[in-house]
Amino acid sequence: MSLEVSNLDVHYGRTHALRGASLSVAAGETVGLIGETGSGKSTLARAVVGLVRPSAGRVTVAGEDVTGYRGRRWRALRRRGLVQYVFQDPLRSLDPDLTVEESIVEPLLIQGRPRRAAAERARELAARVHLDEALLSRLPGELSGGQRQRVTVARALITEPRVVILDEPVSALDAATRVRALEFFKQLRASGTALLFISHDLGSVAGIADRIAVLYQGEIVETGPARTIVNAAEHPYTRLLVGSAPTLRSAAADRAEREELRALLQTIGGPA
Amino acid sequence: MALLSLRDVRIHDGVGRRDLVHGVSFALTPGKAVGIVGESGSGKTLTCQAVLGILPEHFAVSGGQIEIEGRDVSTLTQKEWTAVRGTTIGAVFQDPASYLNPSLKVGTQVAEVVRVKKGLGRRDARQRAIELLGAVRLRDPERVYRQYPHELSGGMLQRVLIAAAIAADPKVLIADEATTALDVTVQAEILDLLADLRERTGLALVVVSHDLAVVAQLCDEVLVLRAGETVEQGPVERILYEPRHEYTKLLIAEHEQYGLDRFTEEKELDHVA
Amino acid sequence: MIRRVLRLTSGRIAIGILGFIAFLAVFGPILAPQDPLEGTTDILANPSSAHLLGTDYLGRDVLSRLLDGSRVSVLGAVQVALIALVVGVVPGILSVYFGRAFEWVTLRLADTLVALPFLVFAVAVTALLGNGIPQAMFVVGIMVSPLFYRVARAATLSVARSQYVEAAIVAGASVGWVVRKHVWVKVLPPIAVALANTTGVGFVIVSSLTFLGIGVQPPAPTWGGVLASELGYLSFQPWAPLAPTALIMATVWACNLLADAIRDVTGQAGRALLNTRKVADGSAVTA
Repeated sequence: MSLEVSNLDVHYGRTHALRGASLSVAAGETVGLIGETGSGKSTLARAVVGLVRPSAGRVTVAGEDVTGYRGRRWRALRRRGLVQYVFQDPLRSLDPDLTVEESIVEPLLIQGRPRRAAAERARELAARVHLDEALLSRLPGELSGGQRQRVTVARALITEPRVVILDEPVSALDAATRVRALEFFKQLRASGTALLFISHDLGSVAGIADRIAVLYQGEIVETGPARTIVNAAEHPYTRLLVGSAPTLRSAAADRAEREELRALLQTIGGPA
Repeated sequence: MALLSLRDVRIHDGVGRRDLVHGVSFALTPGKAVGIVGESGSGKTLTCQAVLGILPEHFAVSGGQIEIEGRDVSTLTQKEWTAVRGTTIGAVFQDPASYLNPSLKVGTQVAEVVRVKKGLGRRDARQRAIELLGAVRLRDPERVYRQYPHELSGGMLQRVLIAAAIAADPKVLIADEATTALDVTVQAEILDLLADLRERTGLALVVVSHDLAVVAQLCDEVLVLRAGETVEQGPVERILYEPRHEYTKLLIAEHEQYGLDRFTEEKELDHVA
Repeated sequence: MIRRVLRLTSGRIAIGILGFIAFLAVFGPILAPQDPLEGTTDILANPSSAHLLGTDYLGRDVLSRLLDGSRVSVLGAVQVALIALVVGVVPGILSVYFGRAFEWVTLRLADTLVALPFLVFAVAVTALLGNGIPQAMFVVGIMVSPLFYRVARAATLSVARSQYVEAAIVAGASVGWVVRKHVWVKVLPPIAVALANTTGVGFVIVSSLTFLGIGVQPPAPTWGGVLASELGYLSFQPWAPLAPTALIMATVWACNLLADAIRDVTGQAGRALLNTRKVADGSAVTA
């Protein structure tokens, strides 16, 4: 397993943000993690890269148990560039004072690679994510949203990671750019990279994920192959998610069914 | 008679010295819903602003005609515009929190609209505001009335704004990316609410979104806008099953290849088999 | 960065003026045409060929006093600013990274320094360390350091929580890397502005300490000291304070100009961002 999370608990003060979450992503597999605002999906992702300390459970990244890691050991592991995180908002995750190239090469420079070789790699990566080489000397503020997003992807891929966590990578893109980005992620998967694809929208994950995990109020309520989740979900929340995602031919649940599911979820309430 | 009709409306940017919207036409009759699909910068928001008479500075309607209940809006005075907004046309936008005063209770803000637009007294306005909050299906409207914007979720705030928008019983409601910032399940709740209002009160809708599926779910007629140009327009069934323009085909393909439609189609086939 | 500053007109003017002041600081005492300490009977004289800027109440040549005092004044002000910089900025940045205890201690120290009566502290330190110019400058530097501490800390805090720093951390960056690559550039512009202001305040403080007999000992001249003595004779020579005032003002103004220039060249990214926002707003203005 490229990434394995088992029984993970995260507390923020008194809030129990994540309750016993288990999830695994194999090499060359794409797992969609679906959850709405406050469901704990970002918390899970941040715990995997060590930005949040779990209060219980285990996290294994690329075969290495990182659960007890702190400071120096985490840094050493991260420096190997095996796991990368593409943040949701590309504008905020790029330093406004660094050029595109400086941002892309940063992980390599942190590894201590020579500047010249790193710059060479940056050009390769730019080509790979279809970013015009002329943009390398620009500042992020001068780029369009889609271009910035490709910059953050290039930065994440420059260390040839085995696991990439993508936080809402397509929700801010318009239709044409979105299709291109999804095509790109499919190629990435084909090359053996494990992808954890986080989104609030089942629709944007359904087309690319092999398996889907559904987070609801800090708990993973259902995991399964994408097809099963969409067509034969068990948990009412998953069914509501499927029924709520806007579809073209409105084959999804109708209004009355959604109403029922909402009422049902009300009576179940959240996990205690 | 059409509640709202646009004929070949063009919008000009006085600073950039060019037209940003090149000819948008549609007509809205009671109970009907028209959808406008397009990405940011396609001119969909400008079109809405033109209809509401709130185009930003330097922008002007440079051609065509907008009629609200048969009246050409270019003849409206400022005062008449104020009367039209709210009583004939209401609107909700993307970021609900920015349309509410954070230091006032949401209920009083809805009640204020009722007082101004309906001329009701303080007590009646309060009663009516609570009714409206109930009408947009907020649970426990009495309680919501006393809450401040920061105490409510994005979906609840959007409901409050819809309540304010329909306070003066408008005949047309414009929803400009009204569900874009919301979670999917909450988006569905708001869309259901709009459909419900349309059925119960005959409210005509203009639904603006970047997502063809959102528009398809609610509307009878769809306009596909790209760079200010109407590239395709027609009944929703026709657009979905026989798209003519490449861009529309792309929007549909995106859902079919990468969205839920990929699986739901299979499901339908299963049913047939 | 200096090259980028020089590309701006304001940057060139600022560096020109500061260069001239530095020249005065180095060569001023040599250039003084007369003994700045020796009084003559010709007191409170108007400008003449003998005394280009007139004389003060003891008949000393004002031009000579200003030139002779420039080294002490400038060095004093710079020393104040530098001490404040080191004592304030370094803990300000580190307070964000060195854990709760360090943060708490430095915050309380900064509060204490702000609350401490300035003069009492100055007198106490001179009693401890002896009365001299370095000691006096040290006192002043410490006293104004909370400003630097807070400015540096605020700027660091906003950067430390940013996603690009998190991205760097996920890539394995150490605190040192983050500070060098991301924090420093953001902290610099507000610090440059604070530094410019402090240099100006430094002149005034040095002279007011002189008045108390701390630091520069009369009759040794400083710009602030000359200004203070001229102010006492306004009714006889209303124009007299103009010369020292002009020097102090020119220095402070040039410092501010330089600070603005630094902010402009380092804040380029911020401006580019602003421009794109404006363009975007044009098509999506809300009601």
